[in-house]
Amino acid sequence: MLLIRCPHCGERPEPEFAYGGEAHIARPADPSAVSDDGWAAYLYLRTNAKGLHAERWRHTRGCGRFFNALRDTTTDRFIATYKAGERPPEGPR
Amino acid sequence: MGRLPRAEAAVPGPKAFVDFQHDVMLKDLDLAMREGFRSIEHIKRYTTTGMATDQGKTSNLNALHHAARELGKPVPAVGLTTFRMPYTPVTFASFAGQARGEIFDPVRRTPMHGWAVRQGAVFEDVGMWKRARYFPRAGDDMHAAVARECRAVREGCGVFDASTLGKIVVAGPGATAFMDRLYVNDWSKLAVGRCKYGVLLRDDGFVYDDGVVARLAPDRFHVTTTTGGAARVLAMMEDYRQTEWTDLDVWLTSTTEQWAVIAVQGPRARELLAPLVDGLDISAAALPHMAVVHGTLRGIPMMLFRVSFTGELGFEVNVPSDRGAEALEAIWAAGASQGLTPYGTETMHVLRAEKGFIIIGQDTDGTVTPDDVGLAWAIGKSKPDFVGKRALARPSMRSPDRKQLVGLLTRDPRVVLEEGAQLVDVPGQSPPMKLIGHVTSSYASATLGRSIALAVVAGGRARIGQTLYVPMPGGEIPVEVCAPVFYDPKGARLNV
Amino acid sequence: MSDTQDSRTPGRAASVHGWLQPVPVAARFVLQGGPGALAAAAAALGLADPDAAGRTAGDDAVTILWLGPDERLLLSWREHAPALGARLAAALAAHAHSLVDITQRQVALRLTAPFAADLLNCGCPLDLDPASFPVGGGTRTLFNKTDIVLWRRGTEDFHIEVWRSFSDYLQRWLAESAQDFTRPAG
Repeated sequence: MLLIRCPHCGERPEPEFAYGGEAHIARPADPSAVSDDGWAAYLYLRTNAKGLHAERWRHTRGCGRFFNALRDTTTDRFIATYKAGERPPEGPR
Repeated sequence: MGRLPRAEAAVPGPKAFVDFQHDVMLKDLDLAMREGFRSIEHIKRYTTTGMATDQGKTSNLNALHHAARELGKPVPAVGLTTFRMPYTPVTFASFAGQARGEIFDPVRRTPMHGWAVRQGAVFEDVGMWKRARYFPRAGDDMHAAVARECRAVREGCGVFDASTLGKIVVAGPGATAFMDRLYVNDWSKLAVGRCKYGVLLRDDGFVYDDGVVARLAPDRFHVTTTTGGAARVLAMMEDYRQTEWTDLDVWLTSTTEQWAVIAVQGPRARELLAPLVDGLDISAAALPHMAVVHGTLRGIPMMLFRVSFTGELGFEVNVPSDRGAEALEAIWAAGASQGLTPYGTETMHVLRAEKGFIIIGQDTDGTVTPDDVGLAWAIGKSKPDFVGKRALARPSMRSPDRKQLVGLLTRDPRVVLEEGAQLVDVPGQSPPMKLIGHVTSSYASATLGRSIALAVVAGGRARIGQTLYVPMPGGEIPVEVCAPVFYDPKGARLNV
Repeated sequence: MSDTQDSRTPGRAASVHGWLQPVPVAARFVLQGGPGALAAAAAALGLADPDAAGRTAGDDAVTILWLGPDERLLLSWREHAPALGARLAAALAAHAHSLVDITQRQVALRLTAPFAADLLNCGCPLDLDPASFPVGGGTRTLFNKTDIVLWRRGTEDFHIEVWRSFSDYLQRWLAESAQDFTRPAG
């Protein structure tokens, strides 16, 4: 069983979690000030990283909290997990 | 190795199959060796012998012996190819394990399921839920049952299990701001005890869900969602709450299964309910359309909504789930002798279509803006932002050529169009035709004595009055475009 | 009232197996709010808020389960929802919070058997070794395709909360899986 470390609950089995896409993409504070292209980029453009990727997860079947993870997309290894709103820790490059 | 004697003569022999799954023949093996392949692994790859899902079970030894003879080697020196799992069959039962029959998927039943069974309901699956689709009486087919149920609601009173609707309590000092940021509507002026039809978009501007929202207290909303949208709407709300709007003190709780919901709909709904609600005043003055009040029904705690998805005077009785069956039995006992008629989801669909009320996922498909389906009126015009507002400002979202919801009336009133059927504006085309929209909902309407349909059509509202065509295998069906409200367009029947 | 067997608490499995019993719960609330609200509610119940992941607190009147950093499940064993709700609302008046009555949203089952943890692991991926999930621990998790809340009352004694309409599914799964533990060997 793949275990994921929830920042609130500790290591828990992967079926309790839901993936939530790339992390650290904030909804613009004033959408009306964003250009059409800028809004399309906010909605659709993602880095699709090969390697280290900061991404959102939710411990849906646990504490219900969204949090962030640094995961290596080539090995599926979780480097670190951290609470929503926190900056990503420095991972090994 | 057994092999029929093959004359080495010039006359071609019969086909000698070696691999019965990949149809590899002796001559294929011979060709491989003539081409210079000597390793059995190379012969395998050149001919594909032994590479089917049986992994050589029917062929490996045949091929091996033939190769040994042709290559002049003893069999062990030729070697075996690598065979890989599953070289013995795996039964589907092994894959399924225990997840089969009743425990393959949860089967969700409402608290009133047993009552519907006793009333002879035919059920349909809606997500994991079992919902009563229609209630046939002796000799009824679905068409007859639905026509009878529709007439009962339009002329008398019908009762419907609406428990599967999603319900979410949005509570906290930030509840109003949360709702204002999330839904297109303006919630600031909604009084306690009043309801509003809410429309939820995604941030790409497309309709995601809808439902009636009641304000139960200044800092508390009772939000209803579609049956299928209950889980995903709550997940979307949690996402915005936790990750975008952390400045708001607001929390979300699913109450879908806390409440059993009994819809009582029809011109006689009030007179049927009034004796049951323990003195509560449910007159038009005390409880107007789109209002909610707390009370009791024969002693059972109740939240009573005056709402309608049928276009008739209507109420939705919400009682705690464990008393849903008891409440419904009380309503049934009082109403059955007066023509109260159970109706199912099929009748609900027909009645709402007659009123032009959309169903998310049927009349919408994730590419539909509020204006496309005639819901622009719901948008709070003075709000600086809400989810989806920015996307609606893009030029493509405001194009008059977008597909818009319209009504369709077939020239022959007996013809019921097929849902999903395509529409063209020029008759007599041969494929590929220029398709301008499709039918999203289509029913035989007993109320109107004819068929009706809803459709999304490019520039549809400007085409009202025009004739379009539905190309079908049996020929083109001419239809007239009309407004998508077929019955009581002014809503006079609601406000009584 | 002749309700349906298939939607009420004591379904098939519970009625035929001594190791799985329906549990009457007088009232249930989901309480959400900041630390002040959570502490105030616990204090009104004469308890200390279980302010740590997977913990519970309680006595013979109320059990509080930690569901998330700002979310608690309150199970009341005697006092019913209107009275308890009013009492909690008064205690919470000064705090931003959400208190929602979910008494009838879910039902409870008590699983008591030497094989209880192994049986739960037929559908629940959580590590139920007492070192990882000790007596007194509680959490939301899943059992195959349904969400549950699991509370360990003893090493071989679990309280399971499940949404009403998923109860039949859960009980059927448990009954089916239990055959591996209750059937005579050979």
